[in-house]
Amino acid sequence: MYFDSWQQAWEMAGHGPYVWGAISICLLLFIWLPVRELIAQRQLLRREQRRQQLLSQQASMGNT
Amino acid sequence: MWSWFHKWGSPKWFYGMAGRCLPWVAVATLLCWGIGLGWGLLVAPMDFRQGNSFRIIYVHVPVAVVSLAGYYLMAIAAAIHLVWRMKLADMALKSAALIGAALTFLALVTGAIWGKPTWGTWWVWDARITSMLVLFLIYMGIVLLYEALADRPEQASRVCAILALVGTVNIPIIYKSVDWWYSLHQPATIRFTGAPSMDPSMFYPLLWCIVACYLMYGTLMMLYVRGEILRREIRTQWLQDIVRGMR
Repeated sequence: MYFDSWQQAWEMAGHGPYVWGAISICLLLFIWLPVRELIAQRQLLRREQRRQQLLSQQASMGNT
Repeated sequence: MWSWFHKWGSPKWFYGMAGRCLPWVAVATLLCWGIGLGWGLLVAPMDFRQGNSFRIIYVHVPVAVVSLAGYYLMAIAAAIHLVWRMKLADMALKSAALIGAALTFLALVTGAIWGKPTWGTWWVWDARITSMLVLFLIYMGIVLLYEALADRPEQASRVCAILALVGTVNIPIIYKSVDWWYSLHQPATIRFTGAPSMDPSMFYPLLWCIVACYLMYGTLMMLYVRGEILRREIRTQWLQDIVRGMR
């Protein structure tokens, strides 16, 4: 490691807030982008599954 | 050649292929970011002029590079869509606009954060920064046009494709802005011709980060295009079969 301690790596001789701030904003967006899409896709698939179940229930009720 | 082209135009084929590739590319992305950022932030030596603030380069340059490269991909998708009316190209265009907007936003924000300790200001209206802002506005314009014209998808995709192609003019301006105009922004660190103006101990972690960012772009594109396929084609037989198989 270039720094002598974690404390020094955190402070980066006064530049810590800039560096870690920039990194955290990036990481937040890197995580948010796939997570929001995965949630949206899961919801869509769930909704479609329920629709199929309803349809097949209706179909079986129509037969009896 | 045509069968290959045909395959790439098939949402069904892409959905399956992307689904199989996604986990691997995602893991590779995480690994490369881990190595690149760990190395760059904690191991690489400090820049003797800029101090530790130079470490912002390990996110700033990758997102800026990929936001520009992504524009080429988007413009090619736009052209393919306009010429051959390929559905998948339109889906790629829409996905690339959103991901590109996010990356350009990050390039601008991390640049501003880097500018404060280095130049003493968050923002200057200089050529490189202003042309990147224009890039962000074009990306956002396409994202918002798709939203606004959601009930007229045919028209939306054509208008967005034309906007994407017209916006290509901006790309060489961004690349050349640091050479054409006197600028606060430093010239490119990495060039295709000649060695990078950077010590290998700082340069190798940057390479890892750039590779990570490209891989991340691939991951996000596959994920978002798959999502677009789901949203638009959920009622087709093959997707209904997949939904049925999930129970």
